[in-house]
Amino acid sequence: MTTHDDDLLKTYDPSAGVDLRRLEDSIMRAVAGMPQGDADIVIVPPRFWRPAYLFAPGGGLIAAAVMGFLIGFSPVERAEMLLDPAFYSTQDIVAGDADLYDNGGIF
Amino acid sequence: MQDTVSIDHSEDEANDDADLMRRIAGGDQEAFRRLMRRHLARTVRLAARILGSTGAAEDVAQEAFIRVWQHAPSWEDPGKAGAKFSTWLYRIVLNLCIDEKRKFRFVSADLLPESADESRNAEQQLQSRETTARVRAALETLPDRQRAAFVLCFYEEYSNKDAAEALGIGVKAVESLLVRARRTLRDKLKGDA
Repeated sequence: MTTHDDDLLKTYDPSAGVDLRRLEDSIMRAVAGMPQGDADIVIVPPRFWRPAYLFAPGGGLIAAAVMGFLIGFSPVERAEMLLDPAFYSTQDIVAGDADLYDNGGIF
Repeated sequence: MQDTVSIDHSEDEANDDADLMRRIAGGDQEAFRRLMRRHLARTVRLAARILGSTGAAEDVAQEAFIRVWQHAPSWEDPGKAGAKFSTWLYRIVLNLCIDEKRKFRFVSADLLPESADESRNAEQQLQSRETTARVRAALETLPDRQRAAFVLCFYEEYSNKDAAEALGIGVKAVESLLVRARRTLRDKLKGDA
């Protein structure tokens, strides 16, 4: 910035019309009789276990890890959802689609 | 401003402030008035330059001094805490300005109250008003933190270190904010010329 810019910026004082005496009196009136000091703080001692810990970020991660471990440790066999071997067994494909194999359709 | 109080950042002033704060902590209203006379003008000026509104600046200044009164007993003097009263006060003011800006946007310069100055003729007043509007528009383009850093260092002549303390950031960050603010203002003022 140039010196001219600095001079221009220095002229800016929007508070020029403020009546400080009036403001001062207004603040003095506001604090008259106002109590000082922070409000009494009640410290709640921490408990060893709260249900909220399960949902807190740290506790939530630990809970998710434990649940994941337990699920992985005891898998449930779900035979009905397995893929039919016909879809991935090369031998079955070759045996079942001999025509296709002979014609060179897929290999 | 009708009653300008000149303030410097001397060691004596910091000690006086600390002494007054100790008295205020004991409920001394006269000490509070003295402290206010020392800092009110600068507080209003700082808030007005950041907010661009005298009305909002007065509200911020009032709220800041009410907090000074309320929290005086828990204030630690510079010898122990390493921070001057003025830095602590400015931090309160800056935080209040940020809160205020969330609910308040810059008003048009046309809405600003005209300061009655009969010693100047109409042409000078018009020119002054145009200059104010131009500077105001340039400052308005700055993001909040850049504007706060610029106002503290350029107008209030704070060192980068003191400004960093008041803003609660590092000195390098203040330097970066100032460089960007100056670049934006230079471009803006050049564009308006």
